[in-house]
Formats: sequence, structure tokens, C-alpha cells
Amino acid sequence: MNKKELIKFLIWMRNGVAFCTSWLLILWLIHNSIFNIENIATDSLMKMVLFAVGGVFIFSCVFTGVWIKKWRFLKRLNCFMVLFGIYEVTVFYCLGIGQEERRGGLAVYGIILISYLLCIIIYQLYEKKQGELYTQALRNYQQRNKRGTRDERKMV
Amino acid sequence: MNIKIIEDKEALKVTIECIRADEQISRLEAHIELFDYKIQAKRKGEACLVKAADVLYFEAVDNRTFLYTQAEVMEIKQRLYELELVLSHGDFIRISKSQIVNIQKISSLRPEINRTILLTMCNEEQLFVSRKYVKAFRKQLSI
Repeated sequence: MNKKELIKFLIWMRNGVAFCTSWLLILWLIHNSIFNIENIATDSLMKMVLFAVGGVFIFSCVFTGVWIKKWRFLKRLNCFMVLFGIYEVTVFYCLGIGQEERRGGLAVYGIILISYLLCIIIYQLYEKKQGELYTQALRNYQQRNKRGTRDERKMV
Repeated sequence: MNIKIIEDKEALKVTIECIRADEQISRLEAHIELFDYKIQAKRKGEACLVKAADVLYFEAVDNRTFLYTQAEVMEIKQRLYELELVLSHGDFIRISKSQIVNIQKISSLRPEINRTILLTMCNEEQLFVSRKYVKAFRKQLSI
């Protein structure tokens, strides 16, 4: 196992858990304020944190080179989407969300849809950046070879 | 690199003197060979010569081979594999089963979601590097 990648994985885990837990808590508080719910149960908070940790773990495993080394970005993104979808449905089922209330099912589909849209945006940005890199490499090649041709013309 | 031009009555002759004929020398040799390489083509039934450097790409369609320049399409006699043998030392590279492209005439590149690469030529025409040839294409451009 590469030490550098392992450190990267741990940093991503730390930052990801902090980020996701904060945002899930903020969203939960907004939800409770809207529906006038005054209390938050400790076990619900624990489950939320576990949900965040699991999601971030899947993300970090797929996008760092600790276990998967040679995959390209798109393959990693697809793998993450599939694993996260399965994980999310399993966790929601274990938490009892979506079994009784209609809202729970909507949350599952909502998260999948938002993740999907997010992936499309990420891929568009990635594609644009890659396109710029490829075009720059092309320019370098053209410059290099034009110089070569000029030398040959001088020579002839 | 020392370059000497000697005027003589004999035909044009280029001699490369080097310590060791390495890869760089063979690239130079290939460039010199392709410097004035002309391809015989048919334009509206008439035979004409087209400089390889002016060609945007070659395409094989229904057992016939065509060359595309900035504004014209002409038919040629050679097969695609024959052209590949001659031109691949220069700026030409195969991008699919039926196309060979001139890298100098590409204006931009964009990788696609299906792992192909979209090429925009200098005349705004768009071609695709098929998945089979993407690796070689990236290697050629050192990507």
C-alpha cells in the first residue's frame, strides 16, 4: 500500500466526515424548524454520523489510489454512484426510512437524482479541463514538429 | 547541429553524418523523406499531385480511398495501410479503422464520455479517435 495515498485517504476521510456531518446536521435543523420538531434523538444523530462516515468511506476508497490504482476518472465515478446507491438504499432500509412514510422514499430518490445531477456537472467540468490539457499537448506537439520542419528546410 | 549546403550539378542529395543513428536521427530521416512527399490523386477525373502536408485526413469508404484537403475531396489509388506505412513516421496517425489524420491540421481536442476523443480540424470538421486507437494517439502527443 502506498504511504502517500494512505495519508491522502485519511485526510479525505477526516475532511469528508466533517463536511458531510455539518451539512446533514444543518439540513436536519432546517427540516425540524420547518415541521416544528423540537427534539433531536441521540440515536438518530449517531445513525446520521454513521451514514456520513460510510458515504465518505466509499468516496475515499474509490477516488484515492489506496486500493484502486489504475482506474480512470469516469470508471471511478460510475463505481462510486453504484456503490453509494446500494449503500444509501440499505442504510435507509435499516433506519426504517421509506417503509412507512412516503417522504422517506422520496428522500432516497431525491438523493440519487441530486447525486446524478452533481456527477453530470462534475463530469462536464472535468471534460472541459481535460480538453484544455489535450489541446495544450497538441499545441506543444505542433510547435515541436514545426521547428523540426523549419530546420529541415534550412538544411535542404 | 551543423548544416552545410553544397551546390552541385547532381540531383538533390541529403547526407546525415552522426555519431550513432538513434531514434532522433531516424525521425529526422523520416521528416526529410516526407518533406516533399506528394500523393497522386484524381480531381474531377484528372490526375494531380497533392503535397502530404496539405492533406487534412485520409478516409477509406467502400474499398476506395479519399484524401481531404481544406476545400477539396480527391480519390487516391493507395490503400490506407500503404499510406500508414509511409506517413506514420511523420505527422500522420491512424485514428480509426478507416481514417488517418494529419496532426498538424487539428485545431482542438476533447475527450468524450465514451472514451473516444473528438478532433476538431482546422476547417471545423469533426472526427473521432476510436477507442482502439486512443492509446497510440495519446502516446504520440505525450499526454
